[in-house]
Amino acid sequence: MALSTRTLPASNTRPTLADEPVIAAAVLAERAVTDLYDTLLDNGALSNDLRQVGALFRDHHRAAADVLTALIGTAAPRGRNDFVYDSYAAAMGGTNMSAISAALRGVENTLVATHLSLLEKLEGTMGANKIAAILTVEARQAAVLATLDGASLDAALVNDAAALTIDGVNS
Amino acid sequence: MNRMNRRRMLGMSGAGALAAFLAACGKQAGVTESANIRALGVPAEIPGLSTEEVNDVVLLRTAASLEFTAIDAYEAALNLGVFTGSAAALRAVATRMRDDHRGHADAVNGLVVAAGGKAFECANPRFNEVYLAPALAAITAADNADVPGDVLALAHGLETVAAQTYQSVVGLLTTPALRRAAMTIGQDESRHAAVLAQAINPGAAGVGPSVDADGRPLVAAVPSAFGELTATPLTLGPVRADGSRFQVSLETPSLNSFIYPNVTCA
Repeated sequence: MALSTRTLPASNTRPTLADEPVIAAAVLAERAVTDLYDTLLDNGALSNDLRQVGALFRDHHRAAADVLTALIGTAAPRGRNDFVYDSYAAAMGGTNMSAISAALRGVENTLVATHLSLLEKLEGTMGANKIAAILTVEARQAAVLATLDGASLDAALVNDAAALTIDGVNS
Repeated sequence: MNRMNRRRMLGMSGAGALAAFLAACGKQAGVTESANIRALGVPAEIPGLSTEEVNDVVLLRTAASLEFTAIDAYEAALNLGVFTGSAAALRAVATRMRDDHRGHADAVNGLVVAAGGKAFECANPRFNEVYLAPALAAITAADNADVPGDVLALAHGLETVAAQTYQSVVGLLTTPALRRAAMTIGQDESRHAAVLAQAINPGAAGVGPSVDADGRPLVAAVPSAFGELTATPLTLGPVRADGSRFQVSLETPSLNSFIYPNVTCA
């Protein structure tokens, strides 16, 4: 191919005012999942190996919440998405490893689906880039949870979870 | 050529002398210039550079090309006949992932056509030349002792780069709907990479970052808190006479590997 001059589109635009509630919704969801992993780790039902995995994934969700919070500054909300936390908290207190694993997989897949829906609402590319970088890791985490549990290949590769419906954001 | 003696030259003042000198060096009346005979100091004409815009169609065609690169890689792996014995279960995994990439290719090309472009239905030429062909040559070398292991490593590397490619174009695509569509496929590739990472380095120990006894990094299913866009190093093939092995760093497509509108399948 002949040499050519090529122009790349601009790739970094800050979140708009309309982006702030979208990113705030993602922050609340990430905090809820961080708390779910904390509840699980406090439960004491996990082996040492799985505790390390749980702590790693918990830290990833906390980092995601922190990065998104920094992106919108004072517009960032406090607290967590209680619907998400309450939906899965009981499973995190159990002792059946397969049930815990399936619940965690459901949580991770729900976040992936939610972030994909939020991606379609974001105008600024800085927020979109961050959400993309987060959801790609959460997809990996969902697949790993299936693999560690000895679940089927479909369970690792297919996301059949629905996105969270968030009033005024993606509803 | 105009004749000018030294005395006359010195007799003329600054600007006038310069103007006369330049005029003397100019084109000669009645002499036809030849493109084949260059005077000393006259550079050859440089053809103008074509201008290419990296737009949605180019980015999506490039993504489609990587899907076909992955399809080709899995086809080649399946045809090696190495998924036997303890590696038999991997045949189903490779088949499933190849089929997933076929679905992705169709989906991405659907986006290309919807965006006004022409579908791209073959592998990325630059990727094949720089990555895939040399990697397959190293894997199939007669004295390679671990063909199944190297096939897994290559597949993991390609899936990682595919996932990174979709993530990397999010900020470049112009509409939120396209960004979602890209990452819907990208997260599939991430799952592929995680499953393959677990096949290479299984169990809880293979989830996060870790190193071997010599301090070399091991493959991790979830290597970081955020999707990284750094190069993925691959080491494949037999140990050569100097103790080295074939090495390559897989990187996301760039200006020299994008599928511009003038790039066609051979």
